[in-house]
Amino acid sequence: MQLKDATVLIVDDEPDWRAIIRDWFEREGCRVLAAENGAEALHLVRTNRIDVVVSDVRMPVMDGITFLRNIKASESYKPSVMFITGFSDIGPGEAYDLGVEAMMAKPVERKDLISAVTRVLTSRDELWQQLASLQPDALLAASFASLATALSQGLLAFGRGGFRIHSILNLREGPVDLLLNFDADKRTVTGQGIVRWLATAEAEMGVEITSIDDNNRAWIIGLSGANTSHSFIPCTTSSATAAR
Amino acid sequence: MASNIATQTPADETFLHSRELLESLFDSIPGAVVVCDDEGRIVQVNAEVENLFGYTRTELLCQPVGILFPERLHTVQLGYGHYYRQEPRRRAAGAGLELCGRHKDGREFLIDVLRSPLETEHGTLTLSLIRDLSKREPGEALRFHLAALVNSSGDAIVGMTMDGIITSWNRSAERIFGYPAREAVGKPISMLHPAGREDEKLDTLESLKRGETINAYDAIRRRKDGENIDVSVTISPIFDPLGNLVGSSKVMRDITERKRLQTELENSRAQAVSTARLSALGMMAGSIAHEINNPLGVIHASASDLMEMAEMGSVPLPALQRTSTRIKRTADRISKIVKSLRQISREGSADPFQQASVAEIVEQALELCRERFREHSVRLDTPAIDPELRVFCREVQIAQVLLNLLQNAFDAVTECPGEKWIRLEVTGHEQSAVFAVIDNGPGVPPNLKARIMDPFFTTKPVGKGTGLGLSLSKAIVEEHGGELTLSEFEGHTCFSFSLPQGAAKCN
Repeated sequence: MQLKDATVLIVDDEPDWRAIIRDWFEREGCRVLAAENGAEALHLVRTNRIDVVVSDVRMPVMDGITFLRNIKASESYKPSVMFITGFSDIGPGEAYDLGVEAMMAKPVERKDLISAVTRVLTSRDELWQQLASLQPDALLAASFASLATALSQGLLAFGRGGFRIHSILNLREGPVDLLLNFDADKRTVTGQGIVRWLATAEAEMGVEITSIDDNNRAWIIGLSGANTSHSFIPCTTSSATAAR
Repeated sequence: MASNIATQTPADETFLHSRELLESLFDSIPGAVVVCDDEGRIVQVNAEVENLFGYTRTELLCQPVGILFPERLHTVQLGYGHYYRQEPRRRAAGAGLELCGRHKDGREFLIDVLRSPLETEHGTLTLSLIRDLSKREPGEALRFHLAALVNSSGDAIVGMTMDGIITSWNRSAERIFGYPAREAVGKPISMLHPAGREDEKLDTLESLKRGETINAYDAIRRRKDGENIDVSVTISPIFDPLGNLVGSSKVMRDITERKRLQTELENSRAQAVSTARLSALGMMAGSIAHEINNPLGVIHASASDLMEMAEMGSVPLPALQRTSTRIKRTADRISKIVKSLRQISREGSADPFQQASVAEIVEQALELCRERFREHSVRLDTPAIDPELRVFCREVQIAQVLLNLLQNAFDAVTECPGEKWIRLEVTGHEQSAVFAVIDNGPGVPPNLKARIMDPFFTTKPVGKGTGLGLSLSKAIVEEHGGELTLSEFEGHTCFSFSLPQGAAKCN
C-alpha cells in the first residue's frame, strides 16, 4: 500500500508530539487520526479502517502494550503497529513477539519515521525483493537436516516479519547476510536481515528479514504467513526475558 | 608416734606390739586407706573408707579397687597402677588430674590419692591414702577448680603485684601474647604496651584500692613478635585474707578478630548505603530520563522541521513563530525538571537549616514524579498549600523525603488494579507543619509495620527497592526534630511527619 493512501493513527499523550507527527504524515498525503491514550485509540480502531498505528508505550489510562494486545486479540482486522518508545519501556524481544512491526526510540527523524511506516505498509513479496540494500559485515549461517526438524526441535520459528533462530554465532544487533541451509528440503536460502535482539544465554536471536533470494522468497513468505499468532518475530518466554 | 604413746601410757611392750593397737591406729588415720595387692584387689581398708565410700569392709575385701571409682574413669585413674609398678616410689596420683571417687550410692566426689608401695613377703602391696577434697578440704578443691578454670579460659588472665609485676600467666596469655609463663612472670606488665607507650599508666590504682573492678575497656597491646593486637581489658583487685590490696588481676580478651569483623561490617554497611543511594539515583535517573526524553523529542522534531524548511528555501513566519514558541516552551519544561533533579540529587546533609517555603519544597518533589504518575494513571491530589507557610529545615532533604514517600506510594498503588490515587497534603498548625502522603494501595501488612522503617528491610522484589528509603527518610525527619509515622487515614495508608515552623532550634 502507498503511504499517501494510508490511514495513520497516532497514539501519544504528548500534545506537541501528536501535532508534529500529524503534520509529517499529512504532508505525505495520509489521512491522520490521533488519540492520547490506548483506550481512545482502541475506540478509533473499532470505528475506522486504520492501516498503521504509530504508538507511544507509556501512556495514562491504557498503555501501548495493553492497547496492542487488545487489537491482536479481538479486532476483526489487524492494523500494523509500530512503537515509538520513550525510554526502555519494552524490550524488543517482547515487542516483536507481540506483533509490533517496527520500533523506534525518541527522538526520531522525520525521514526515518516515514520510511519505517512505508516499509510496514509494503507487502512482504515486494519488500523482500529489495536485494542488497544493507551492507552487513556479518553472516548468519545455519544448516538444518530439514525444515521440519528445525521447526519441531524449536531451533527455528517464523513470525510474519522474521524468525527466531538457535545459533551459537557471536553476532551483534544490526544487519546480517543470511545463509540458511535445509538439507532434506534441498534448499539454501540466502538474503539479508537485521538482528533485532539477542538472548546470549539461550543462544537465540531474533532476526527481521529484509530480503530473500528469488527462488526461496515465496517459500519463506508461506512459512511466515503460517504463523497465526501474528507475532512479528517469535520469542520464547525465556528469550523474551533475556532480550529485554 | 610410739614415743608419745610411751609417755602417755605405761610402757607395755605387749600392748605396743599388739594387733589391736595396729588395727585401731589403722582405723584412726585421718584419711581413707586402701591396701591392694598387685592384681589391684583390695586386701585391707580402714574405717574411714567405710565412711567415705559407704561400703562395709566385708563388701570391699577381695573386690577390684575399681569399685571405688567411676567406671568411665578406670583407664585414666587406674592405668597408672601399672605405671606405678614400673617406678615404685611415693607419688601423688592425682597430680595434674582431678580424680573422682564413687560412693556406694553412685554419688561421685573429688578425691586426692597418695600412693605408696609396700614390699611384703606376699608381694608388693599398694597403700593408697585417699582424701575427700569436696568435703574435708573445700579450699583445696576450689583451688584445684580455679586453677583449671583459669587455664582453660580463652582469655588471657594475668596476676600482678601492685607495682605491675606479673605474678601469674595462664595458657591463653601464652597463646595471645606469645610469651611462655616462665618468660612473663616477674616482668613488668608494661612489656605488653605498644612501642612508645610503655609508660602508659591507667588511672586505675585508686579504683582498685577502693575494691572496684575496672570494667572492660578496649586497648592495644603488643605481642612478643611485635605485632599490635586489640584487646578488651578488665582489671579486678586482689585482696589477702586480711583485706589488704596485694595485687590485681587482668583479664584480656583478644578482640582483633571482632574489631576486624566490626570494621568490615561498618565498611560494608557504608558501602551498602552508598550503593543504595546510587541505585536510588539510578532508578530516579531512569524515570527522569523518561520525563526528559518526551519533551526532547518534541524539540528535536521541531528543530528538524525548521531546518527542512530552511533547506527548501523558505520559512513561513507563522510556522517559525509557532515552532520556536513550541521549542522554547518545551525546553523550559526540561529545565524545570533538571533544576529539581539538581536540587534533590544533592547530598544536602551538610546544608544549613533555613526557612523554606513548603509550597516550593513540595513542587520540587512533584516535578520529578508528576509525568510518571500521569502515565501510569495514578491520580495525584495536592490540596493547595498556603504560599506563606514556611518551615525551618534543610530544604533538599525534606524534598528527598517527600520524593521517597511518593515513590513508595507509587509502588504500592501500581501493585493493584483499579483506581489509583496518591494525596500529598500539608497542613499548617500554630507551631508546625504536618506533611502527609496518603495512598489507596493495599496498605502495609500489620506484621510488617514494626519493621518497615528498619534499614535494609524491603518488601519490594530484588532489584526494585533498596530497603534504605524509609530508614533514611526516618533519620532525616528525626534530625529535623520530627517523627515519621505510619498511620491510617480513612482506611488508607498514611505516612506523615511534622516540622517546626519558624526558627526553632534543631540539631
